[in-house]
Amino acid sequence: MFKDIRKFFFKTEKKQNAPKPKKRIEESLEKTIEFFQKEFDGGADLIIRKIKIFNSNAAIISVDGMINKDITNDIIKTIVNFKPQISNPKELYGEIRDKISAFPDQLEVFYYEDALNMALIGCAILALDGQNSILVFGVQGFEVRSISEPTSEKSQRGSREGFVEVLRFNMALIRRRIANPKLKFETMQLGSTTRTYVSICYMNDRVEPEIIEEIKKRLKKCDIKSIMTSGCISPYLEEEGDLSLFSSVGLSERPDSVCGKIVEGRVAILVDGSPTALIVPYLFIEYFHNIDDYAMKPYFASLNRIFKIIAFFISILLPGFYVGFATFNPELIPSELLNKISLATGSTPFSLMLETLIIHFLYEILRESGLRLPQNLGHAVSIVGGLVVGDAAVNAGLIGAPTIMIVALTAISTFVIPNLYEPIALLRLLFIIAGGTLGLWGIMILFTVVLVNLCSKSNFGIPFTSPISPFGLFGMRDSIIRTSWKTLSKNKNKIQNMPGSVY
Amino acid sequence: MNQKIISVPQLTTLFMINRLVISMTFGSSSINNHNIWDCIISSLLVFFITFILIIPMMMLFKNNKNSDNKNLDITDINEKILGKFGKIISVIYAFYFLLSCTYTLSNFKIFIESVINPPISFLVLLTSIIIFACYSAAKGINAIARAGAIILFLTFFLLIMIYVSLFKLIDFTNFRPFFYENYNSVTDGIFFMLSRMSCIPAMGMLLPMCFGNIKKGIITWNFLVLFLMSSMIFLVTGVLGELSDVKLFPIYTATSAAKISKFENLDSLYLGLWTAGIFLKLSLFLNLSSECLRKSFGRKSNKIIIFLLGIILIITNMFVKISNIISGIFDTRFLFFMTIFTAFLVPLILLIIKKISKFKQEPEI
Repeated sequence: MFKDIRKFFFKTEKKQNAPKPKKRIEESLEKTIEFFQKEFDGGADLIIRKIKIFNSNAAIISVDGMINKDITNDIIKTIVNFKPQISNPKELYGEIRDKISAFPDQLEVFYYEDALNMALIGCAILALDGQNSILVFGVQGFEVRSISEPTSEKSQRGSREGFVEVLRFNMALIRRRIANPKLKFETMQLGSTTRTYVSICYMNDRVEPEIIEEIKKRLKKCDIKSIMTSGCISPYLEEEGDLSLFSSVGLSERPDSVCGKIVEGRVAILVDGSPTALIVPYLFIEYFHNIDDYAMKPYFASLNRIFKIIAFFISILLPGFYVGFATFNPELIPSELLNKISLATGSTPFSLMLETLIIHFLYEILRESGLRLPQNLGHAVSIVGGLVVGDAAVNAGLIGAPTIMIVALTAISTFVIPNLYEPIALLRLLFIIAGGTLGLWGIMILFTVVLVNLCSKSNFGIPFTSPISPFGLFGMRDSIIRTSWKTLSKNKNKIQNMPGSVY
Repeated sequence: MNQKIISVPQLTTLFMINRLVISMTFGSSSINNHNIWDCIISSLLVFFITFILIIPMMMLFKNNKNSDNKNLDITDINEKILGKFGKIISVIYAFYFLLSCTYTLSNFKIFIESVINPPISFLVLLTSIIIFACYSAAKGINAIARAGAIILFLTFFLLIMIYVSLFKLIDFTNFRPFFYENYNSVTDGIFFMLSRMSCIPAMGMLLPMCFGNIKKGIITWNFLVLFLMSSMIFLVTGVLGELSDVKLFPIYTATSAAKISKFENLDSLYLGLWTAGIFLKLSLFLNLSSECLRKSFGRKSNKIIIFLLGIILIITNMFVKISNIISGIFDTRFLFFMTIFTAFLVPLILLIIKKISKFKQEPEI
């Protein structure tokens, strides 16, 4: 009991679990089979096929559904039919390893844990009696989704390829675009239960070594048991104690976009089982960038970015300004427009702030229901929600038509920058409350708080708001505006050279 | 001991915001109901006086590093030169920064209560602005400076719009000869502008954190202040004429005449940015005040101090009208004395002591 009380009042240092020592593979085949059976604890997907090779007992161990059965059968056939010229049965293993199964994806392991890990990722294992090592064949053949265009990041003129759920495929998609030996992948396993493979991908000559070290340090701190998506490790890549609404870890499903970032000195983190790559360090302005920007003429790309920034401000500020101006500062609204607003909202039973909050609440419900339903049903929900309920509410005099229009405009603006949806949704509500209680003053106070919060963020030594503040003309060439390729291709186009960077 | 974390343009930005906040409340009541137009001369004279006032502070920070090659701020120098008495001086600096915040808030209160319609609960506004300012202050100088740059950009953008729309409303018959009545408006103008020159004491804390050409930055800032004040006085007098002498907040009144196409009353937008400026000024001065106290009391973190100072600010602004003692402390003459003391006298005394001790230490040849 005292221990519990002490634990409650005093911080106890977390026990560091020392890594278990690996168990060396024993010569007995039975012992090897026993190890696998014990680890899988009667699991239905463990396949152990005993075979005889040149009078020696052997076994092929694999996990059902993870291997390509055709390739595995071919390997087994070749091994079984093998007639080696040997005098000692002990030489058999060496003959198989070096002569018949000169398979490109072949590995020799000496520890049970390594063999188990390999089996779990879809390798076939050949264990031979009397041998204290095991041969592993990379014959992964599980069902995967084919490479297709990412639905959340469509491009007009870019590639149609998107990441898939298999880590190796994603690594290959990057490698195919950057045919440079400086491109480096470092793989580690995270998640004590799922033991998910995570790959850190960067260009050796373009990234600061301190950034890589810091990423590894932060990832090693990731103490969650199961990693099912890249979002699980994303918070561990943020600065410690960062409670900002905005994330300084970028997301992308596009290999071309990720490659572009890697070339600029950023680091991509790929997680097995997730089609989304994480990108660090990430700047706020990059939320407004798109792969098409680099395929279009600079003037149009710049114009696009400016529109996106305006859309961002509309999506967070417009409902707040609408409520604040109409309630506290009507003199700011042109008189004709003000008349229309007062006519429309004068007869409604709720205050303007409450009315706007209700509509937003309904909109969020409709969005959420439409998002998870099958596509056809989702359309029906949108029609019923948007047109029928909205129109009926206005006709019944419950809600003013301008409020519906404002919310609709805000919603459309939000879709321009889908990666920022989460902070926008919350900020929008906060601005409505600020505008409804303190008018323009409230909005400005909240705006400044959000601004300070954004400006205080910095990840891996690079300010999140760079190159806008701290301002750097050089960095501005690919921020709010995009300059021509001639300017962009000049030296120093690296993230570390952003103004305010510690590097 | 400080690290160099903000650039000279960021320092200039912070000071400009500080000045913009003050300029908004400039009016006939600030200069004892005299002629505002003459204050153009005041702003020109203040421009030169500022350079003189800055000299001791600048000289004090010339090559001021400790043995670890870290830059010392005014509290460190106080302690280094004056010992324990220096800690008291540092507390006075903390008090001054807090005083400056209270002045800003009291002007804000007068403004809200006299101009804004429909009325807003000042207590709610005050509490929310101080709580959030405490949060920003806790985020550090770097965050405030970065946010300040964006706010200043927006303010300048809006000011240009207001200036352009007001320029066509100027009636040149509104301008009277300088010193039409007497010289009092000039002296009162100087008194007002100098008493609110809180940037110079703030330099004592900010200069050691700053990298870049400080001299260039300060000259730019002073020129911009001169331009801002004189252009505002010029526009206000040109647009409002003699009305500017009777209005409580003539700059606000003038901006309310600004309009672009169908959008009238651009003053409201300007007020919004003014609020943002007040917010940033409070954040900055709360941070500086807490830093002074933190160093004086040898604490590691200044976050608790910031929130305590925030509570003090709320209380003093709530009771400033009730108590005579508090009202006496917030008299403009007291503020003027405090500004001159912290901006000029303390650095000058420290500089003299430093020079004398250096002279004594030098061996005779």
